[in-house]
Amino acid sequence: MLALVLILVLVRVFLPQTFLSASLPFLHASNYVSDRVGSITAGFENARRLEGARAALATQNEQLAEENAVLLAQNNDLTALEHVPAASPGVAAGVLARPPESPYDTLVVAAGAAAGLEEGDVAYAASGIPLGVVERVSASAASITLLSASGMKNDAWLGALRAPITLFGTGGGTFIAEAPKNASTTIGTIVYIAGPGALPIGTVSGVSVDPAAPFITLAIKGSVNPLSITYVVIRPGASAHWPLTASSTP
Amino acid sequence: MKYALAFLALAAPLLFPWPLTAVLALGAGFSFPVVPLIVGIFTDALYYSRGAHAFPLFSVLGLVASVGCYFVRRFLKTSIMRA
Repeated sequence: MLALVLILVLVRVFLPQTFLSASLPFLHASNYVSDRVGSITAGFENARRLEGARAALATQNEQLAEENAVLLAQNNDLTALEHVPAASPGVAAGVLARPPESPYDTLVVAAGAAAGLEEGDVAYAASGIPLGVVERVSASAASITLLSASGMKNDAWLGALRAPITLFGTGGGTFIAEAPKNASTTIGTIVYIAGPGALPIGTVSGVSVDPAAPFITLAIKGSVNPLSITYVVIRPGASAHWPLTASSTP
Repeated sequence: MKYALAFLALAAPLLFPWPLTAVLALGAGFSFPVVPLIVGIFTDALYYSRGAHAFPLFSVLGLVASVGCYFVRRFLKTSIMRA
């Protein structure tokens, strides 16, 4: 047994992508079984089917609202800017593992170096909202660290006035941030991430005020739920906006 | 039974949410103390993010759990022999 541990450690240190590649068939199988079980149980009753259809429409509606917000923000920015380069179409990749299987708020996706992915590429949701940064790439899989991962720090803007704030990831698609006490913030205020244009990454879901502190603490719920995401679009060359930055939370 | 539990614990990082993985690894650790360490290393190999976390937490927790399981197991064995 101890020899096995030693072998594991050596492989982990010297061939870190081996585990990702070797686990790929099992992750595919796990996803397939999960999908099959889901579709079998959904077919039992009419009520269940209707509930599924309703949930799908709700998801679609949410996605359209997000897309609308993205387009509105981009439109506002494009009217003020000139010569903004168009985004590349990117690579669509199925998600094989996500939180809570992944304890570190990372996604494992079924596309890797063979599909042209590189470390530092940025993963977006279907609606165009940035989700995370590609951190490790093997031939046919990649690991993406979510922007909401605990310890991640990103610059963002708050509300229509675009007050600058710093987002601290707290895991599971949520963030916290600090804003001046005089910032006009209410629950539902949209938070935009600073990048190519302003992209709505989440909404304020809670405001906590400490009378002794000069700032207020905002709880922010991400626009995209990473626990149920099924595929992402990965585009190269934008990671400078969201560098992987470990930091202490406020 | 104990072999099935150990196998399930080793496969858990691919199949189950991490809290269940941790419970299975601990459960298997009382029969095979090295299992929590292997599960921790495997979990970190799959999911650990260097950019966001300073050190591989689950490998460290696996080591702690393995050492704990080893001593509990040894203590229980000694107690049974004394009785």
